[in-house]
Amino acid sequence: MATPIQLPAVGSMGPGVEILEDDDLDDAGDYEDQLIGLMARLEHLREGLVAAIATRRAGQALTRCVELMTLVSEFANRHFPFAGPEMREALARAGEFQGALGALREPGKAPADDTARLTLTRRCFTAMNEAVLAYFVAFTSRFPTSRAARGWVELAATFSADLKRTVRDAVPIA
Amino acid sequence: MARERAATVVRDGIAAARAGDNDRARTLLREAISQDPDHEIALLWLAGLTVDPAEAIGYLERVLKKNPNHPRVPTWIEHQKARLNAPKWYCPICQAQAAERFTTCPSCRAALDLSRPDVALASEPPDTAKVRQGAERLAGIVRERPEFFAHYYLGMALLNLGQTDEAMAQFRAALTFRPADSGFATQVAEFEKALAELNPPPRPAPARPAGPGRTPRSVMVVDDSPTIRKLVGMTMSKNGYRVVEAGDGEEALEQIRTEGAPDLVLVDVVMPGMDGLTLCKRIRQDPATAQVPVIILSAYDGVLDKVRGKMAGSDRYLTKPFEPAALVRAVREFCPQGAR
Repeated sequence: MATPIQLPAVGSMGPGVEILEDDDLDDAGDYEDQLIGLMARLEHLREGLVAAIATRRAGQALTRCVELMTLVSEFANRHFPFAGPEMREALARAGEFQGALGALREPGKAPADDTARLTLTRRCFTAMNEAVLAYFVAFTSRFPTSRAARGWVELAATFSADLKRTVRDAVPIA
Repeated sequence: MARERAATVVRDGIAAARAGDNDRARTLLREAISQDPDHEIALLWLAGLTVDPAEAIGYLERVLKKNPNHPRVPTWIEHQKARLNAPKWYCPICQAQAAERFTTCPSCRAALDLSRPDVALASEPPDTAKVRQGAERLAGIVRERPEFFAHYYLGMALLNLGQTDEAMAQFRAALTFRPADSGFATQVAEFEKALAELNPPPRPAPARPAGPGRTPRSVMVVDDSPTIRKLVGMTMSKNGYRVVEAGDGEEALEQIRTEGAPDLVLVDVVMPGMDGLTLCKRIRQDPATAQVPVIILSAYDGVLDKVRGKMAGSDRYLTKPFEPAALVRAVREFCPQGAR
């Protein structure tokens, strides 16, 4: 059962974030279309992640995570040039992901023993999942009303539940 | 007593082997060693007759245990070990070796069997560098000593590289070496037809009476990913279509049986249970749904994948990740209006 992501209160966005009026639904529709396009690409990458996990290719799985994070953060950069509180939270989570990834991939930094590598990989997958969720919350804040955001929230919740399950399955391959 | 009986069975077994009845010979010799486990002659004959080298090594080691100075058994064991490790298959395109046969090479990931597009397709795109190298080698063979297999596998290599016209030319050339092979001729003809039909004019959705109280046209989305179902559903709903969802082929057919045929079906290829291609074929086979347009949405984007979709009876083949606007355009080709 998918857990709906938490919708921020309308108008709670930080300074610098464009707040739409209720009658800006056409704009919101365009924004939603772009979110749907983003989600189509994210789901494609998630399916690639599932395939990498099924064939026990840890390196490829991490690459899919990086691609997934890149897509989400590029979308955020395009639509949220000024970071509100939700976006700052998302950026912090993305930083955790980058930190864990760097520790795994940078020459000389990667732990030699399996247990430490497993812990780092687990941190990497978990941080990616949490960062994506935090970005989704930030993306939701751009909708003028909860009603306008409903379709996107349901879609994001469905994807997040699948991603969480995928990440949970991914940990043993580290 | 048992040893005497075993000796008789061994004689019968050897006679059967000499008469060419290897199955009976193996049965008799196995019976003999069950009665006399150290019967050297039975063990040696069995080692020679058995198909499995590992089993043969087992018999020979038993002989060697009883008779460590046997002059020839160590050599025979080495021979069987060599058989055990020898590759049983090699890819005709990239020449990678393997212990078992494949219809999709595990090394270059090229599909190798024109007659089995349903199983021959790689889950990942082929390694184009390896396939290209193989195609160049095969082209050399075709130039120097053309024969059926060289043309056929050069055709498959070119097909994996997406060079469909060149591939068809090779298949036609292969056919000249086997003019009486009606099975292969049919495969080539079917494949050629499928290639020609990759981009046909749209098949319109069945006509519906128009008038007041029109209901939206319905689009069935069949995909095991809840996210895809939801995002396709959102996209279609926003454009005035009614959306019906199914998680696999069986569920889709059940919904069609109980709720009637939709105006169009969007279907994924890889799903647990009944896959999208099978569903597509079933839709085409049923007179009640034979005219319903089917659009395949798949992550596989090779030429062979598209041909396979066409052979299953689909009208369009869209690759994931898809742009929602492109999806709407494709649906509108078949269902021009959101309502009927």
